[in-house]
Amino acid sequence: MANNTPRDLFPGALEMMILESLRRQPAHGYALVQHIQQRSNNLLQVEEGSLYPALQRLLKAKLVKADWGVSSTNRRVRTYQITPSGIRHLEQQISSFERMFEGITLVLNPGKSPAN
Amino acid sequence: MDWIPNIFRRRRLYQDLSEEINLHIEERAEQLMREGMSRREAEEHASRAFGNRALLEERSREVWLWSTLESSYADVRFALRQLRRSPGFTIAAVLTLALAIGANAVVFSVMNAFILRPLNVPDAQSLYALQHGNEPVANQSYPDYLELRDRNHSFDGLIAYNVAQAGLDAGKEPSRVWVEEGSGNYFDALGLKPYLGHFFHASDEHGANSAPYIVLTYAYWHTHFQDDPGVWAALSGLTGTPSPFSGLGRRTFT
Repeated sequence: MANNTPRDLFPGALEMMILESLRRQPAHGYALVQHIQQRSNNLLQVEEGSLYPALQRLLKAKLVKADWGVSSTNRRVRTYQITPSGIRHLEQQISSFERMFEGITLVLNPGKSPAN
Repeated sequence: MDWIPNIFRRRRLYQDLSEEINLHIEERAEQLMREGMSRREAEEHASRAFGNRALLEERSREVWLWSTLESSYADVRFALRQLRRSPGFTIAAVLTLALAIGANAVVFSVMNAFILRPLNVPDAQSLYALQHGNEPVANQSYPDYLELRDRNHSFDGLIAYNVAQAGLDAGKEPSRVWVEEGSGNYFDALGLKPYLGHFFHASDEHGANSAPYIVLTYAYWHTHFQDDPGVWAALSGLTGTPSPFSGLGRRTFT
């Protein structure tokens, strides 16, 4: 799929963060954005809307499922939940991300061993 | 095969998505208002923070479908709308296409009959058509034919034929048919044997209107009488020539 807009994150990063947030607790779109921004101490400037294409991709891949329900503020909201295959996918992604991060760290800091 | 139900669920998917996005922007605006912004400011800010809504919605939809398929569907609909808006152009275009297709079909059927499927008779390569001088069509008068036939020493035989139309009343649905009128020696000279009944011969010819025999083509028998072997005997005859059918051509000769 063509993606002409520049993005701050590497491909798959947003999906990974969404899955991780959903593993902690099911949430609807707005709550997910809030969660990601707060957890990153606002270091990550995620364009709020970019969450939705990512959610659709995850839905299609059956890594998450969605149900319409009523929120605490009595609104009709669509709540997302991670599926078992979503959890497996997330774990694979995290481990490959950690390897990649380790590799980048080694290149950027020659001579030093990785932080852990 | 997820995509089949997806096509039918598509409208629903789009509505869900739109509703979700509305809610997102509303919630963001409300939070900003709680933080002290005016409603207008908050709404503006919320939709700015969301990003390009139309683009993001489109990208979300793209996930579910084959977007080229949808855009070509849109192109077709646009073309149809344009055609409806200018009926003059539409009629001209449709007529042009119809005429061109029709003309091509006619040319092809002629080519198919005369070139791609040559006469299926024994020894077809020794068949010749006689043409007089530089006349564009090889038509001869009947007296000329008789004279040529009687003086012929070059060919084994000389036949005459003429394509005409006649009315055929076979008891049900009288119809107009193409017929080929042939001289008495027609089948013998071509070396053809009948599938059923018998063909006429040169000896059956005794001057004008003396030999009104009718031979049915195999194709006509097949398409109109469903290969019924009894039917050709029961045929009442061609309009104006109340004589029995004499034979039925072979499958290979049409």
